[in-house]
Amino acid sequence: MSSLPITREQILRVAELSRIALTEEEIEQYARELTHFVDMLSVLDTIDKDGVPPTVTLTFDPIAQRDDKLEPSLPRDEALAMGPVTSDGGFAVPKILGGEG
Amino acid sequence: MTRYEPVIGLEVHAQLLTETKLFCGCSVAYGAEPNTQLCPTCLGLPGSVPRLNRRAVELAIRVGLALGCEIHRDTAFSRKHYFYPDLASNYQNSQFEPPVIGRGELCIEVDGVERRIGITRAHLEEDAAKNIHGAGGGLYTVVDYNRGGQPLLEIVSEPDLRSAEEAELYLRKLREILIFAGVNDGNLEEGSFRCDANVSIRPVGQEKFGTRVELKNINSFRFVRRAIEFEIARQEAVLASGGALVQETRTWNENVGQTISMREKESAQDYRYFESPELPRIEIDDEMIERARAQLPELPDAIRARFIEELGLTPYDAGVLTSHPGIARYFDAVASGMKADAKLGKRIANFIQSEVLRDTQIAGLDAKFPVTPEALIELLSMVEARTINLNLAKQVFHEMVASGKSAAAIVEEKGLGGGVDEAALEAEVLKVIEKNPSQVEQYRGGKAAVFGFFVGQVMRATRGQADPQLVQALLRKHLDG
Repeated sequence: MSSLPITREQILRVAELSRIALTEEEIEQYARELTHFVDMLSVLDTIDKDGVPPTVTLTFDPIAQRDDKLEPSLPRDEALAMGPVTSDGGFAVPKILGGEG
Repeated sequence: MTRYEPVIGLEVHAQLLTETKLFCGCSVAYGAEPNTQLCPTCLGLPGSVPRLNRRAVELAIRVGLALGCEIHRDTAFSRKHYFYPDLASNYQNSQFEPPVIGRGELCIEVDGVERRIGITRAHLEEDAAKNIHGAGGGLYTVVDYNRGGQPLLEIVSEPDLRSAEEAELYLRKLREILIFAGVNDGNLEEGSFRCDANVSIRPVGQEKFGTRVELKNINSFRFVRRAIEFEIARQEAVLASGGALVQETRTWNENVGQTISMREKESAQDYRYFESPELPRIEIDDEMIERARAQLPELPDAIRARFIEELGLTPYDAGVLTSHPGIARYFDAVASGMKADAKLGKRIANFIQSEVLRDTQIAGLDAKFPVTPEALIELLSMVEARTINLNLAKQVFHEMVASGKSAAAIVEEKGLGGGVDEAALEAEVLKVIEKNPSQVEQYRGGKAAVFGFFVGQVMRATRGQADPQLVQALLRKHLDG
């Protein structure tokens, strides 16, 4: 049981969208591993799914909704401690040219 | 030479007036110290669980009703993936298809002609964080996640607008509706109401759209207009010189008065939307819609029509008195408190416009009036009862503002009002006529201007307290009779 292998082009495309630079070895490694993932999922192809709506979420519980009530936020020091670089009370990232996304 | 027609569509991002963020209980208050309003959820930390703010859904439904849009009963959140420091989790919780709000329309008036501008959709999404450029000694961009996760409604228009003026009118109208509906505070400067414009041009008569440029981050009505006007002229010039337009994002630079290219649209941009596996679907039933309908305040077009038809206002007055929801409520409170008909309504409107609004302070959704509606009702009721005349009322009003005292207290303190009944006034009129025989002769001889002299004399004799209209009527009775 084997689906189509993940190609080098697909890996490069996803890497580009994710802003990740990959070495030749990594490209091969990811192509191999992701092909393996897809293979594992292809077991679903063997099941009769006619008339079964896609299940996207298992969150049916209304607890996932909340009233518009304030809850405590993190102390700033605690939040900023998680950032590798901080400056001026904020998370510092490499300088962005141009505008927002 | 080819003539071109602009084609403009607008995307408005309106922050919904909730207390807390879309998926967590952090405050959305503007102006807090950076990164003090965040938690594991809005920082996108692993293991955190987003919980949808019900209020945001209610306000979105309210907007749908206000704009006469379809409301989709069963929608979901989808993740929109892109990589940028303003997005803690590398995706934005947004909506793809279908959005919570579907098609509707908004009417604007252009040179007295009504134009119906289509609304394509409006969807709920979380706001991105704010990037502070130039901080960190200029070496870094510093990110403030306070704004990240705040509830936004993105309202998308059809490409129905044909000029910068129409675009501005549409935005003003939309902002007014959102403010009166109580869902947004309409503050362009603080970014709670933001606009992007898609602008293209095409030869007149051609159906196919031209290459589209997206104008981003325009934060005033004036800039919207100037940016679009500039962009239309720029695109015409490119085409006229035989060039080709590229699909790109541009921003308005007010300092140079030009739009500047930010980046060319990556043709391969792919947000890889997929439905959120951790958020429940948004299911809207009749009860939620009816509750939102019950909470939807009267909208500005309806208020203006009522002010004109029932309270005797001119379209101009109605416009002034609906320029802010607080002003409309104030006028309404005074008019209903005095059970005003069309004539009285107009008199109240005049007094508010000429006196009250001069001392009214507007800050965002708040309006601070110099006196309460009840205090104004007391004052204007004394005018209606002819206890004091309008000129005195204006003086009393200024005294009320300065001292905080009531109209009745001031009138009593100064010995104004109540003193001049019709019989006493008639006696004064006769006295003035008797004392000025030569002026009487002039007047009766045809010199109509002398009439003003008599009015002045009577008003002086009554220390300004007499009703000028009654003075005139009595003078005419005795001079003309």
